[in-house]
Parts: sequence; structure tokens; C-alpha cells
Amino acid sequence: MHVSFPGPRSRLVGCLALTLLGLAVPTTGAADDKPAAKPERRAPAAVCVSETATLLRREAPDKPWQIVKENEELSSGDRILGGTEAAVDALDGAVRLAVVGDVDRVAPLPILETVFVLHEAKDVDLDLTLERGRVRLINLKKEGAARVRLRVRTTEGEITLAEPGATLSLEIYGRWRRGVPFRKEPRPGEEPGLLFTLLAVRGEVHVKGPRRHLTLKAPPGNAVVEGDSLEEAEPEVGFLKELPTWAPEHLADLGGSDRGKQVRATMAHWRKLAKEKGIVEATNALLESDDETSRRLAVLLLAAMDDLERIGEVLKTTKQQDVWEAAIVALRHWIGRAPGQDQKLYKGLIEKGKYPPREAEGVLQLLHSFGEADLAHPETYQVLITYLGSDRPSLRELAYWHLTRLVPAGRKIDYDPLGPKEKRDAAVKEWRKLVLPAHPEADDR
Amino acid sequence: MPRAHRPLLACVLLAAVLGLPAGARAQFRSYQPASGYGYAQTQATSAVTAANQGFRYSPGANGGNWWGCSPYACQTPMNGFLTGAADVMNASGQYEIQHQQANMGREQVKSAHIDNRRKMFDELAYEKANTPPLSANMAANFYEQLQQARNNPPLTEIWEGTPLNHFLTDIRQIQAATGLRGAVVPLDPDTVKHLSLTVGNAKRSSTMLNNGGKLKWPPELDDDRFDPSRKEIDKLFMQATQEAGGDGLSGRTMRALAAAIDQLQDAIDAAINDMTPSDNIRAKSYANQVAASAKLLRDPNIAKQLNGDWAPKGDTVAELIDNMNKNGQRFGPAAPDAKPYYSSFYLSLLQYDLSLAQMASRSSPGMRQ
Repeated sequence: MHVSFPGPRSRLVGCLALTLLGLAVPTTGAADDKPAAKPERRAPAAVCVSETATLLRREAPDKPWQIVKENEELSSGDRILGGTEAAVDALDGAVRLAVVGDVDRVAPLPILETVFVLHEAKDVDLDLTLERGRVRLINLKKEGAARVRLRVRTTEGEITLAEPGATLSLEIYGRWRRGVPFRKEPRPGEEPGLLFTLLAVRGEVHVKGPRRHLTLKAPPGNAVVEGDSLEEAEPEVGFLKELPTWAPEHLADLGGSDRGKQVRATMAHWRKLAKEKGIVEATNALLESDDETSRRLAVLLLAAMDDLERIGEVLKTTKQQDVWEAAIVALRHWIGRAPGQDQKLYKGLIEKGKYPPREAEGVLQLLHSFGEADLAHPETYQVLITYLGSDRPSLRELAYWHLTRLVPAGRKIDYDPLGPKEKRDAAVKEWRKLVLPAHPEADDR
Repeated sequence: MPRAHRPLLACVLLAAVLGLPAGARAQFRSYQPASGYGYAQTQATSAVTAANQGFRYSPGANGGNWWGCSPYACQTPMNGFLTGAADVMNASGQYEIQHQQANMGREQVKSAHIDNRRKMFDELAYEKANTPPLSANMAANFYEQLQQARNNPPLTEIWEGTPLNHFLTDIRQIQAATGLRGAVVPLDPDTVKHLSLTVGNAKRSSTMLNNGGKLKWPPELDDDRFDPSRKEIDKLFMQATQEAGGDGLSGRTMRALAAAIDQLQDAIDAAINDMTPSDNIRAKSYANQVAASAKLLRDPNIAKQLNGDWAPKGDTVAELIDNMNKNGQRFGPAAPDAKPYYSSFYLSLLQYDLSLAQMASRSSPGMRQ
């Protein structure tokens, strides 16, 4: 199940693509702190039916995250964060929202965390805004259809789970397209794309938007729709003979890989610590662990909770390369969530991180991906290799991250961005020998 | 001669004629006609030999004549001699038959060889007739590249000059074949000035040399830390350009210019932390371009470019191509500041190529568009 990343398209067409699905392409502005026209009344919206600490909630961006207890009633307007193995039921018990995640790393989109906001359900069984991540909506009724109002960013559509047991898998992921550079002042038309996949896992599901009505049927059938908000073509419904391996009918079949088991075990450990000592202590415990998986998950969790300051503090002192790598991945996801996120990070680096503006700008440029035009130039590789010798760890790490992906053979070179300078300088020479002979004109002096 | 001796004499004579040794007589006495020889027998002799199966000479044993057997079923010496002679003749005949049969077999094999060789030859001729020649493959390959050039090629390729050169080749071929001229496609003088033309396989842009040696520095290098290198390069590049356009570039100037460019590159590397990656990439790209242009100045033919003989000229696409044809030039890669002009020029050249191809296909319907 491959989601393609074609070239940039007009926003108008991008709007059309998602609107046809009853979903929306956002206007500029980050999702988290965009002021609402009217503050939402806090009212009961759903019940947590999974284990305590599988979900966290926050009433407002400036409020701390709190652990959600099992059977706790969740209020509308709260932002809910989950990783995996979490679920909430509608108040009327008609619909279950399961947070699925991707512990096995097999899903079509690189989901890290799942975040949604519940709303007071009126005329529907469940009303939510899905900000990012992967969920399943399941009809728990004994008979009849269950209805869910789904909002993505600022507009909404309706999902009807047509029969008891009908299940829809839904995932949303925001990402900056390759070749779109960082700008201190955003330009119209340049924003992260929103990728999505809808899959009928069981039964029949209707997805209704203002212009188009789709019916998805579980395999064998027209079961899947996937698309990109920046894609010109209308998303097509695809036929599947059987469910893909990343979306088995039963959620219990997920998480069985070695990686999956490790992640689940680590999350279970975190939950235990969080229940005993609180979120901050539990996360610190993972950060200080000798286990790489624990450290990586801790960094991803901090980014999910928007605690970038803490990430910055950790990066200043860590000697662990995996912490840096996890931080780069987490920050790339963070800036891709919505328009304006990268400007927020830029300002945060200068104001809170005390980065010189040029360096902050350099960090943001390197958190974006190079496009084909950049990669056709040997100077791009020259500059990245030169950054390997920089005295700024952030630039070294980001350059190394890019180079090892652009030139995988370079992983064999004994270069440690956190290692001593002499060793780094020697490795830089090895990198030059490896990469630059392929572009003789670049070094043709 | 007594009558009884005549047959005997005949046998002896026959034996002599046949060259049979005297001992051959003896074998008639112990002749076992049905055994050992293995030859096919004629019907004439087979009856005789059949009749004589199991004979053992025993003088007087059968009480007949002194040979001891009946004249109808008995091998007398005379009879034996004749039978033997007949057998020899038979064997000889058989040998001849078989020899000829073997010869015939051999000829059949030869014939089969010849048949196979003919078939092989026919097969090779068939394959040859059905294998397109190298020129046809190259033509098909070029046509495919031309179609790609016409259908929204990547910008990076346009800036490299690749689709432009495909159009150029196509235009030259059509004009050579038909003498036609395409539509009048005007060119902006500024665009023409930014085109880089080369001779042969040179992959470097020459637009930096079009301005008499005056370099136009990008904003990324407009900084105090680069001032010393920049000023030195300005001076030396101008000097090198003048020398190359005159009596030839001097070694000293060439070395001094190379050293100044190296210094600039080092300064850019040293400023890595104080420049954003994009600024650094643009700065390095420009410095590389200056270095490449400096190398071009060493080309003995560069004087023609510098004195304007080889500069791109033409108010229309057709004029530009005519001038390029005179000098055997092709399009080189775009200098960093020339990329927008290349993108624009691509459209003009595409328009001209398509118009020419359509005219050619109308005038020569078999010509592929």
C-alpha cells in the first residue's frame, strides 16, 4: 500500500481532493493554538475503556498533560494523546475509537502518536477532530448503523458504520514535501501536505462529504482510499482482495513482531511508572535507561507532548546517538503537523534555545528534505560533508542524518557526530573520498 | 583326359582363377554350410547349403559312390569346390552391396550435413533480415529521448542543456533533409546572452565569460569575510579573460587565479556555521562555477568565444541555430544565474522544434514527427 508523493499542486485543487471526502485542507495556522471562534463548552464526550495511562489528556496548550484513568469520562475540548492499545467508547456505547499506532512499523504512513479532540456528540454517536495518527472506528451496536462526525483541521464530514461490527481504519499524517524549503515568513501555497488512508476493515462504511459520498466495503471489495492533500487527482477507491498485513481484522494480531513486542513492553513499563510516579518521572526514567528503545520512545513522547524544551535540554547533554536520531525524526514530524509549525520551532530555538538566528535557520532548513534539484548539485553534498566537521552538534547531527540516507554506503565510515574532533575530521576525509569523486566537477579545482 | 577328372580339373582351374590356396580343398571336406559365414546367401545356393546341413565326410560311410553320399544331397569335392566358389562370389557380392550401402549411408550423412548448413545459413539470413541495424536502434533511441524532451522534462535536465541539445539535433536533421525553416520564434536578447554554448563535450557553462571577464557575485558572497578573495578573483579573472582573448592565458595568471579561487572555497568552508545551508550551497555553487570558467580559459579555442565569434547570437531561434551551426556549437549547462533564462528558452526552442517537425511531416509524410 504505497502512498505516492507527486509534485506540488495548487491549494485550490488540494482543497478539492480532501473536500470530496468530507475532509478539509486547512488554511494557514497551526492546529494547536488557533483561537476558536467560541470556546467549546466542556461536556462529557466519551469514556476511556482501556488501561489507565494508555491515554493522556490536556485541557489547553498551557496546561500540563494528565493521565487518563480507565473508565474515566473524557470531556469535549480536551486534547487526547495515545500511542497504542488505547480506546474510548462513545457515551451511548455505540462506537469505539481504538488508538492503533504502528508498533510493528508496517503501516503505509509513518505514524508516531495519535492525537484527537472530542466534541459533544449531537445527532451522532461520536464527534471528534482527528489531528494526527491512526485510529479505528468500530460500530458496537447490536443493530443498526453508528454515525461519527469526523473533523480534520477545520471542516467536517460524516462517517456511517453501516452495520454492527463495521470498522473503519483511518490514518492521517502531515509532512513537508521534499524540496519545499524552510522560510522564516511562510509563502502562500507552501505548506505541509496531509496524507490519509481510509480502509474498511469490516462491513460497510459510508464516508460523506459536501460533494462526494463514498462507500467502502471490507475486502474483498472496494475497501481503501488513500490520498494527499497536495495531489491534483481525486483520490480513487481501491479494490482489495484481502486485508493488508498492517490492518488485520483483530487488533490483537498487531504488535507481534520483535520490534512490536519491545515497544509494547516499554510502553507498559512507562505506564506502570507513570501511574506510580507521574508522567515526567516516568519519561525521565526512560530517557536515562540503558535501553535504546526506551530512550527513543521517551524522545518521541516528549515531542508528542510538545515538550521541545525538554528535548533541547536532553540533547545538550546526551552522549547517545540514538537520542539525537530520535529527536530529528520527532522534530521532522512535529514541523509537518500543520502549517506554521516550523516557524514556531524556529522562534523557539532562538528565544528558548538561545540559538543564533543563522544557526536556527540552518537547523530548520536541515529538518526539511532536499528536493531533486538540490540533490542534482554536488555542492549540496559538499556542504553536508563540511557540516560533519562543524563545531555545532545540531548541524553535525542533521548533516549526518541526511548523508546516511542519501549515501547509505557512508554508514560504514567510522564517524560519530558526538565523538572527538580528531576522529570526526578523519572521517570527514573518508566521506569526501566516498561522495565527491562521483561529482568530479564539484571538486575540479 | 578321363571323364572323371574333368570336374576335378575344373575345380582346380577355378581355384587357380579365384586364387584359392590348395588348402581350400580341404575345407570342402569339412564344410559346414550352415555355420560361421554369416553372409546372406542367394536362393540358388541356399537350397544346396540347406541340403547339406550337418554333413560329415566319411568315405564309404553311406555306401553310395566313393564320396559316400547321394548325388542329390551330398557335397562331393567337385560340388564343394563349386559351392565354395559360389559362396566366395556370393560373399564378394555381399561385400560390394554392403560397401555400396555404406557409401550410400555416408552420402546420406553428407547430405544431412549440407541440409543443416543450409538451414543454418537460412536461419542466419532470417535473423539478419529481421534484426534492425544499429542505426535504426540509435534512431529509435533518439526519437524516444526527443519525446521525453518534448514532454515536460525535469528542470534540472533543462538546466543541464540535455533537452535543448535533443531539439538541436532534431532541428539540424530536419533542416539537412528538407531545407525547411520552422516558425519565427523571437528571442529576448537577455535570454540569448545567458545561453552557454560549447564545442564538443564540454560540460561547463561559458556564460561567465560572456561579460568580458566581469563577474556578477551572488548576495551570499557579498560579505566582509569574502572581500579579499573576491577582489583578487575579480582582478585575476578579468586579466585571464583578456589574456585568453589575445595571445593566450599565461601560466602565472592561471596559477594565481586557481589559488585565489581555492582561498575563496576555504573561506566558504570556514564560514559554514555562520551561513545557512542554502546560502552555503549557493556560495559554493558560484565558486565552483568560477573555477570551471577559469578552466575554460585554458581552452585554445576560447578566444573565439571571448572576442564574440562564438557568443550566442540571434534575434530568433532560427538565427541562433544558424549561427551555432556555423561554429559547430551545442548548448552547455546553465550558470546559476542563467537558470530562469534556460527555462524560458526551452519553451521557445520547443515551439520551434514542433513547428519544424509538423512542417516536415506535411511535406514528407513518411518523416516521423
